Amino acid sequence: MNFSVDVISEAWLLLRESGLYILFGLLVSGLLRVFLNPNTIVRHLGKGRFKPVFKAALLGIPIPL
Amino acid sequence: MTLQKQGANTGAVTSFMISTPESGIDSIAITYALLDPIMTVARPVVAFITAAVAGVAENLLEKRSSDTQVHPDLTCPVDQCCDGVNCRPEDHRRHHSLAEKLWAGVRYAFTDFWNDLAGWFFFGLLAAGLIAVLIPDEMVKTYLGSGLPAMLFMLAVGIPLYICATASTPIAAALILKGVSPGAALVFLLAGPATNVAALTVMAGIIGKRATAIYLVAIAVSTVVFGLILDQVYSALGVSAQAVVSGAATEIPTWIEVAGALALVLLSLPLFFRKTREALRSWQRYFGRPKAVRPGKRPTSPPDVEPVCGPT
Repeated sequence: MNFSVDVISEAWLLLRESGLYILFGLLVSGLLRVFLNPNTIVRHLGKGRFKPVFKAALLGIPIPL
Repeated sequence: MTLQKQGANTGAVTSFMISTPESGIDSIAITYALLDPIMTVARPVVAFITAAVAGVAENLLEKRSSDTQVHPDLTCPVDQCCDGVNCRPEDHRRHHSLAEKLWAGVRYAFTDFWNDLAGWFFFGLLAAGLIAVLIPDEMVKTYLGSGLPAMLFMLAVGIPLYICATASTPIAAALILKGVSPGAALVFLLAGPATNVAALTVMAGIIGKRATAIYLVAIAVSTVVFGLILDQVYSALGVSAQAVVSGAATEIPTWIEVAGALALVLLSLPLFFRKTREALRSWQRYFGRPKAVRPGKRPTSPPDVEPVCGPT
């Protein structure tokens, strides 16, 4: 009993610390999805060995899975 | 997986497939909340480098060029009113007003997107709670405190495990509080989301076995190298990650924090009820008495509508 109370209270503490930031992260991610046209990603990748790789890596950073 | 269909080479696909799960706005925000500013910067930067290294390695080591040109998915993200194929880009962009787009983004964020994330996130919180309560500090300090062995252990755990970037963050916070080095935690934060057994199998089918092997080795090597570098950065700056993480940001008043946490819980309730109902239903199907089918309550499927360009 004591054990599960401890686990839950640790989890609650983490939830309290992160809740606001997650709400913010969700909001920005949602807007990103509507305003970032997948077509632009493809157009900007182009061909070659290095440039498209760096662009793809960079574009992937803010985009959540 | 969609990028390859849209006409990018294997290297670019690999690099996108690594950097997308390894970092996102949501996981950067939660890293700032639960870890510290150094980690908040290190995580996306190292994710970028890992992805770039793997992508370049892929393009240099793969001989065949696998560029394919297929039309990208242009389906309207606001309400799927149009698939964007038979309509000019200028028209496609003007189907919805700015307010409609903003509202669609907000709605998506707090419904579909959070629904995808919530289960993992609460799992991450509970796992962090279990680590905090169950694992003795001495054990971590003796075996996982720092150095290469700790990184390799995190790699061994992180590669087969699937955990999304957001959910892995509370676990990393719990590990750091137990005395795991920030570099080893970074290895877990990057290798955990970027790889898992199921995805690797799927990838082998899409980009090939050789390319998948390159992907795996590139991730393993670069995360460990950057884990070691990150530990050096912390010791050079004289910062103890353990102390910073435990001394959580306290500028925010408690009641606002509690409100944020409760808002997340409330947002998850519809998902929770739906999952419970589904679980009950499948439980009934296996163990319960067969229910009499009520007439007239059969769900009717909407009629098929041809995709047209834009709302009329």
